[in-house]
Amino acid sequence: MTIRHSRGLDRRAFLRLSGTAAAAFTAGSLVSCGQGTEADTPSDAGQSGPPNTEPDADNPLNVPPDEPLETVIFKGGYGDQYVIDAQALYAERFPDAEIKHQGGQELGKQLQPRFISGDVPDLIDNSGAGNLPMAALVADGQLMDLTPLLDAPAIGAGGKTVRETLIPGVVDLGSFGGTPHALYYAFVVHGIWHSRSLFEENGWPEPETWDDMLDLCAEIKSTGMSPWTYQGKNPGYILTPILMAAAKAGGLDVLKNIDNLEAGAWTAPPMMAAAEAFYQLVERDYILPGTSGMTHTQAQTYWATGEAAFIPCGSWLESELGDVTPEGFDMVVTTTPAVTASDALPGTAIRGMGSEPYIVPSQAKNPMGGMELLRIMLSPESATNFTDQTQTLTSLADYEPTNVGSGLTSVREALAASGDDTFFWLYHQWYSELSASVNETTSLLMTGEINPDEWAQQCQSAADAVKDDDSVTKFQRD
Amino acid sequence: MRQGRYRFIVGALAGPIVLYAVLVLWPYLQSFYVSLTDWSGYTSERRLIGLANYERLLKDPVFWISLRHNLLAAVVLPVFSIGLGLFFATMLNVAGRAKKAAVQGVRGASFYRIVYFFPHLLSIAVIGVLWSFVYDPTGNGLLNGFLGLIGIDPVNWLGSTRTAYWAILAVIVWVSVGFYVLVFTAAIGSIPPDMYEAAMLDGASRWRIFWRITVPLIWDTVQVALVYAGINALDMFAIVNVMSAAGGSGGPNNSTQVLGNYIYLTAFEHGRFGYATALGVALFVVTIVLAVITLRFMRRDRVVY
Repeated sequence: MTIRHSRGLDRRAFLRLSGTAAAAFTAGSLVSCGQGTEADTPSDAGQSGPPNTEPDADNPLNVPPDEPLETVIFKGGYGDQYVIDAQALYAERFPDAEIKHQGGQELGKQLQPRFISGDVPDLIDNSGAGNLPMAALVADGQLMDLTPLLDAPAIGAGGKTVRETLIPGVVDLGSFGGTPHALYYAFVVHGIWHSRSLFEENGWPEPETWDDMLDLCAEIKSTGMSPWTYQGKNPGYILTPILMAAAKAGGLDVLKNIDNLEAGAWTAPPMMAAAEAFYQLVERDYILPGTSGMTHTQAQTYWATGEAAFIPCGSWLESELGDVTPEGFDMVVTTTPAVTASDALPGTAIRGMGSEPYIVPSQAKNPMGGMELLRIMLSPESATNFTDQTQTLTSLADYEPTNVGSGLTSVREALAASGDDTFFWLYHQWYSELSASVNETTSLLMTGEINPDEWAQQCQSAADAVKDDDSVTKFQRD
Repeated sequence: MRQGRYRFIVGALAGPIVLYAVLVLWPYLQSFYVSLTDWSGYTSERRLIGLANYERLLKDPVFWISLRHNLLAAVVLPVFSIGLGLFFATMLNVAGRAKKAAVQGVRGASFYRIVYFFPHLLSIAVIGVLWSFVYDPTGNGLLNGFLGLIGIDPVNWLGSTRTAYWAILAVIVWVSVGFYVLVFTAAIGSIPPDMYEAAMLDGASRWRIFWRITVPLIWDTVQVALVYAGINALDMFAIVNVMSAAGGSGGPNNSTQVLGNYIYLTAFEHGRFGYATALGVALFVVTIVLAVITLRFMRRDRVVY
């Protein structure tokens, strides 16, 4: 317990440090902003910039009150009502501003021509299939630095800045090379799901170690049920618990090495231990037959209808399954069991991840308005509204949702237990080609076409290929 | 008068030619240019990088895998879809047993003709989704259910690198056969019936009639169909994108990857429009070469009747 405590302090101190560094860095970039870098259009952003005007408590971002505001929001499982609700609050504050809103899907195709011509919205929720490739936009200087928003006072937080009210790590999740370019509005945890009622009925314990897991799988299999399934056609889903197990075994350095494209990152002992562990599911035939050919809906439906006991997923699973889940199924999420006898991270550590990345284009006509709307959305009032509508947490750390189901309860418990040990990785949003490549390689591992050694080698060579590719913009984390 | 006629011709053609130049030729030329840049697709800025994209292409294993898959399709699809199309068209039009009229199709021919054409009326996305259900990898799937009846274990059609691509090719054959039946039916309909009658009077077998009369007399149509099928085989974007994975990854592990889909992924998922355009130019070259080869290879003396 004490060990865990000190680690938490370390991490907290580290985050604070990195926050200061980011602030220092962006202070510099703000200066260059005033001088007019080519990334910024010389439009209202320059005129309404903070330097000369007194900061106003009601308008800390100095939003031009009569400047129109345009938002384009991904309208998927979460809908876009929560944004429209926040816009009503924006309109109360700036009654003269005309607000244009559009909710849709496949945003990349809609917005690509607008980015090329320079006529972009002021706030985008760049989520869902067919979104804009984030790393490419960053490399092209198309995204605003969101530091002004992060350093602005948060609404209803008694003088704290927006940055201070967010879940630790959220800012880093949306940072590219230390600069926050995206702010993840929703916060999800990833883990392994099971039905609590099913497990209690059969007297199955929640496995703490991987050996427990394999023993339990043997028992589950003897009842005729398949122990595992995963979203086969999207092999990234099963790579997630492998990386989680590796991070827990070897500590955060495992993930940092992967994100920083270090040599040998994928072949490191903790990675091998995790890959070996999951490969046992293949070797011992613990995976629902046909899993590798299933879409995420198929696999999740089979899981919810009792064909398999475990499935990896993010915390959106409960709302995604909706009515498919039988009454009293009582789904809960847990982190991965320990794959070594001496895991570096505590057993409760879990992967946190943002979803719904909000971006403000640097060519936007009213970028401060876009950030202001985001600031309103990050108020406890709007966050509660979002969670009640979607059964999903926002990136705001402290608020009390009023409508909470069993999945969301377990998500909040898991997140609270993990605390400052919540970890994340970034390579998949920095290097989409590497991500695609290791996902496909993992699909081969999980069908037994390659063994863990070959898997690690192939992933490593994919990482090396990206590292050696001069046409890819590289990012670092520390 | 003469001058007036030229003026008329020029006037009538100018519109279409300008439209064609602006909407077809100009984009083609532009894409040759874009393929020489590092354009991400999301800015107005692009930098000329010479032939670097083509160099990358030659070293890109996924490009070669995709190309191999496309070429495989260009061989397999024409053989099966045109072969079956010819067979069915013959059965529906001339292979019926003669009772009263000499030349007729099998019983219920007009019904089959409509049924064969059904798949062609569905959008390719709908077909992809429907067949994904047919190929459900568990015993609950339609196909695996049937196989289960005769004691065959469920096959993981789209989830195994060994079967996924063939499963998709089979769907394309299923979709396109009806179209070729229709095309060949029209062609066979224009063959004078007396030719068939004469051959039958001479005691020619149906097999012989097929090879000696039907095929030579509709050869022009077969040739066009072959080129058409070949071009289709070089596309296949939609069906692969719908069937290979939720995000159209061409998986598992690129085992269903085709150039069309790889271009899409490169451009829209990875933000490399310059490189994707170079892949597009490569596909353009392959298509032209294949069309020329097909037409050369298939040249036969035309039968005039």
